[in-house]
Amino acid sequence: MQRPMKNVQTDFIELYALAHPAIRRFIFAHVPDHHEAEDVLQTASAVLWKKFDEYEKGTSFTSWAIQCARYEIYTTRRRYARSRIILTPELSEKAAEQLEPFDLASEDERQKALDHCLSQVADDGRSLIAARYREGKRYAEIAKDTGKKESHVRTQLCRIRAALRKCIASRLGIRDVLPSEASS
Amino acid sequence: MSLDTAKWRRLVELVDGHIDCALSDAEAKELTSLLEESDNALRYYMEMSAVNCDLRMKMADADARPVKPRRVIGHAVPLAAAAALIVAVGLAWWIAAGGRLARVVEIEGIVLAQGVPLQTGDTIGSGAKLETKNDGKVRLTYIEENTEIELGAGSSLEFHTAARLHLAAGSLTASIAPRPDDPMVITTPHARTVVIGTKLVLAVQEDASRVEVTEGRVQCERVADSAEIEIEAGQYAVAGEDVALVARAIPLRDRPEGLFTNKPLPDGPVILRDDFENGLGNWEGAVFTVPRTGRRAQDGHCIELRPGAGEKAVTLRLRKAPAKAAFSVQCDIVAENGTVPEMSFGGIVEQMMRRDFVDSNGRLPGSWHTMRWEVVCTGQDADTDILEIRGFVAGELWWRTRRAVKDRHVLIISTGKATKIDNVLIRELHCRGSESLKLSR
Repeated sequence: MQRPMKNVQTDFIELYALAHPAIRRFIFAHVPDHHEAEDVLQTASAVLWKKFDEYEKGTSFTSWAIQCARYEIYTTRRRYARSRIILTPELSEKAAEQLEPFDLASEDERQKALDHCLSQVADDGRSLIAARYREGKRYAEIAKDTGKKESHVRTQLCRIRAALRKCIASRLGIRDVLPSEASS
Repeated sequence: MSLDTAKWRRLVELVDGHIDCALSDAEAKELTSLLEESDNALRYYMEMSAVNCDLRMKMADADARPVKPRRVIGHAVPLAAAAALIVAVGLAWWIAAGGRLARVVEIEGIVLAQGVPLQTGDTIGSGAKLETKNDGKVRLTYIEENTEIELGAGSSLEFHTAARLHLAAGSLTASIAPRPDDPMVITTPHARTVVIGTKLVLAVQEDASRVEVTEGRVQCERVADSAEIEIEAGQYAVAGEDVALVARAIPLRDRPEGLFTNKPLPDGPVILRDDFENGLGNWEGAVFTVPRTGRRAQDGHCIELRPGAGEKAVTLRLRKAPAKAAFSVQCDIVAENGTVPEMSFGGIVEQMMRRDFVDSNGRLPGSWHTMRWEVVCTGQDADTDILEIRGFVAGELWWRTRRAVKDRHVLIISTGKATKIDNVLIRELHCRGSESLKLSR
């Protein structure tokens, strides 16, 4: 018997709400330009809803959604790619197959880890993150505002991101894949 | 294949450039080539991308809420429209429009407001209808007064106004600020409870509602016949058909103070001690005893919960669950990367203990931890025990919850790779007021 539409929608919303952060991260890994990534995410969301009757209840919704999103990433981006594709379809498939707790940790766990790790960042580092990610400033603008060299600003932000990755992995209990000699 | 140090350093450089959209065509190809060489390189790339995505979302959340389309919680939003909106804007924010009453300060599991998933920091207004799923729980604080409401799992609560609430299903725990001029009224299908300033627990079942007062006093009116009763601190009453509307003492009036602190309760006599040197004996499950290894390694054996081929999880069940009203379970435990050990104490436990084995000191998986759970029965209905459960890791309070349990057991579940357990110690807990209760079902 076909389920009532309202239940289907509720099911979808629940599953999508839980899977949404992982799907977003997966798309961002393919599409670094965030405007373009948002476009892809919206298209993928609509496709997921349309194809929801193909989803097999009881299986991983996140894995299914990411497989659907992969197809959308490559078809959507053919139309208006503003950034380069780093992950070939083969690499993308491998990445989807190798999703780990870093990608799939519950949003609650992940947010706690991120909040904790951000709290470890010094004030000037947090200001830099805010300038770059909240205000969308270019490195040159931040350099001008802070009176530092552009290269210094860029290096500092790269170091903060690297430290956050390491800290989050540690909080989520994930082995660090980056050899220590390469992180120095 | 693994990368050498020089290649790793180049990879780090290129990933940073990629995140900043600053790579040339040649550099982009070089990055792809490095990712093709090593699975760890691909993993590093995915992790850095995830951090970049998270930072963008985190900052967007903090910044965009005041200006982006608001989450309208408090005005009827048809589910279809909500779904369409989610699809259209990718779960963008809606915040209460006008008449802000309360803010969401803590959420577990799935909580919907007008069918839209709610998130920490959202505010709600008049007319909001909150629904928690079976794994959901939400805590709200009023914005303009010192009132706090925690909505339990499987509940439905409507905010008609700040002082007029309707609990259609489930349970809530509330600490309500004094409102002498406009007392809070919480209705259920069976009862109308007038509160002037108190702490109470309200639970709705199919044919009755239960009001439990821990501080202050409430007036409770049975909807069916308008019969009224006053319920004082330490009392409860049930409003429903074929039930006398009488204030009764809460079964466990002297709740142990320890339950409301972050400290473990004092232990009593040992119920069970097991170091697994004689095999599984007290336990059952498709698990094995193996030599104990790892940091803090000791001589002897431990048990290993490792799912078989094609299985996601494996369980270990204590053959005879403790029949005490208050007991603690302590063990040494270690989990591999990507493993989630959980503990269950009842057949309808709504959400189980879980721990990903990185403690607050950032200790990595692979090190043995001492975990402790405290289980205290604080009340009993016909076939259900109300359990207060607290979890400690390395002496720190990690988890506190209250569960209705019908089929009691002690069950360890390991999902993912493998969990090792050793030195299980189950003891009675010294807990005033629980002596008269027996977990004998």
